[in-house]
Amino acid sequence: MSEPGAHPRELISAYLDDELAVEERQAVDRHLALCERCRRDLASLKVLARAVADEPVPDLPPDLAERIGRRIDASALPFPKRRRYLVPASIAATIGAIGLLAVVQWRQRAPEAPAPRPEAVAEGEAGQDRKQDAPAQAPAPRIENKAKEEPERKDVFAPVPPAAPVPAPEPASPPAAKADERSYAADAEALPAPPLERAREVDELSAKSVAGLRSTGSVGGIPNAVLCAERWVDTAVLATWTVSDERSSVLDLEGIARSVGGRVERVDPYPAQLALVVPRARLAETVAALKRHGVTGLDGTITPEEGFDCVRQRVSLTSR
Amino acid sequence: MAFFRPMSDPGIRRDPRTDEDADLVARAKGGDRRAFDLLVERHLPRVWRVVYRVLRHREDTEDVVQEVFVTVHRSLRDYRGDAKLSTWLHRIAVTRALNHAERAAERVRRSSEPLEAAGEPPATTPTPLHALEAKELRKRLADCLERVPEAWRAVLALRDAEEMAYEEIAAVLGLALGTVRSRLARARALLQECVEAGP
Repeated sequence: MSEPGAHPRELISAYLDDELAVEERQAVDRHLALCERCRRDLASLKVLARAVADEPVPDLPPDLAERIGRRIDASALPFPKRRRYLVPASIAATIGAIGLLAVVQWRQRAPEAPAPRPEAVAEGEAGQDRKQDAPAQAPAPRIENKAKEEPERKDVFAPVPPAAPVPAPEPASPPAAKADERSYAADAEALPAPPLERAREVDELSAKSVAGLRSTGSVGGIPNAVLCAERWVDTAVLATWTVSDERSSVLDLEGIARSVGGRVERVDPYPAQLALVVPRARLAETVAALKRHGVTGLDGTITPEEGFDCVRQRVSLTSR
Repeated sequence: MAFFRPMSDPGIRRDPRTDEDADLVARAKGGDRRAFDLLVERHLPRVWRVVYRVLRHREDTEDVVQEVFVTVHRSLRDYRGDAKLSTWLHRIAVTRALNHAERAAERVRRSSEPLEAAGEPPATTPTPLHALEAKELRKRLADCLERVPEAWRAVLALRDAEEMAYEEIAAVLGLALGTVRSRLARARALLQECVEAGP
């Protein structure tokens, strides 16, 4: 036991900390009784450990707690967004109801319109089918006139059935409904027929995501509930996504998360925030997918702490 | 929606004996800012020590410690109590500190070369540490700690300075128990060799 290779240095270190099992400790005791060098090492480690513990650390700055408080106050940006979602909920519901009326009227008038290009017909029918599906299952408020800004987004997400019914919007007062109905109907008629290529431009990742949502809730045979269910570290980056249809966007995010083996959860108490909790190894992929969907604020290199298998990326949804 | 399950998972284990912060955490989760400030007051000194022992740079420590508590505040809602608050908090602190050290690696202030991993100590009889004068020991130790990798300084800080058990260190660093034991032994051997060798 006195040869260099036989000195149980790791055990002696743990012996010092009283972190050995009884049998290991007895073995080290026997070795120490015979090995002067290890006894000397043990004595040195004791001195060293004491010295490390006694090493001076600068005093805590007296105002550090206050500075931390100020930084927390400054970083509490989501609260205004919460109000933004809560306060105008009734307004959004009213607009949504008006929008629905506008769409219905637009559909009724559509056959009277001049015959469009064949591809436009195909696209228009597809669009109508989608629009019929979603409100029929969940008459959630939608701001339909914003569809012309990103019509292709609905191509991807409209067929997805909603996960839970959303309360019907409050009926609008008749005069306001008429006024806004005209406005929205006019907007709907003004929608240009999207090129067929754009209709086919289905994001591959999103397609997988949609498929994932329709699945039995597993990725690669592993139930989603166990993926990144416990330990994760936040990226410390709050991304922003301006959306016209929150519900579809939520499904979008969940699809992205599931496609990389992760999940989506609400971020309490911030109703406008969602978090994608994904495997660390798939973070770059997730970020790329988010960027492709128009999520902003992700330009910096994200370097979450090591030691966590999963990473949380928050996205703040802002209604157009 | 179906995938937004409530956070109160029935599988969560909670040990009320060890988590003295439970009440403050609950209040802070409910939006009680004063409760969070109290949590900061309770944990700030220890977090400060640990982060400093990893970084060994006062200004960097100030920055990182602030980031730690901002992160804690932001993530507190998702803290389920599976681990002690202090463990969870120190995990954030150490990983933040190590990340910071990694980012700062290219603008290292130190001129010394980092130490290589220790093998077996030299066959010649080293200077017994207990024979060194306290002042000389402190000086050598400070010099050598500067040259030890931050990840090893972290394990030394948690064990020797904060007297954490291996199990808690494993939880803080996200390492297996055996890895903690071997890393600590290697760090100590490295430090011992450096200090004994002298300037």
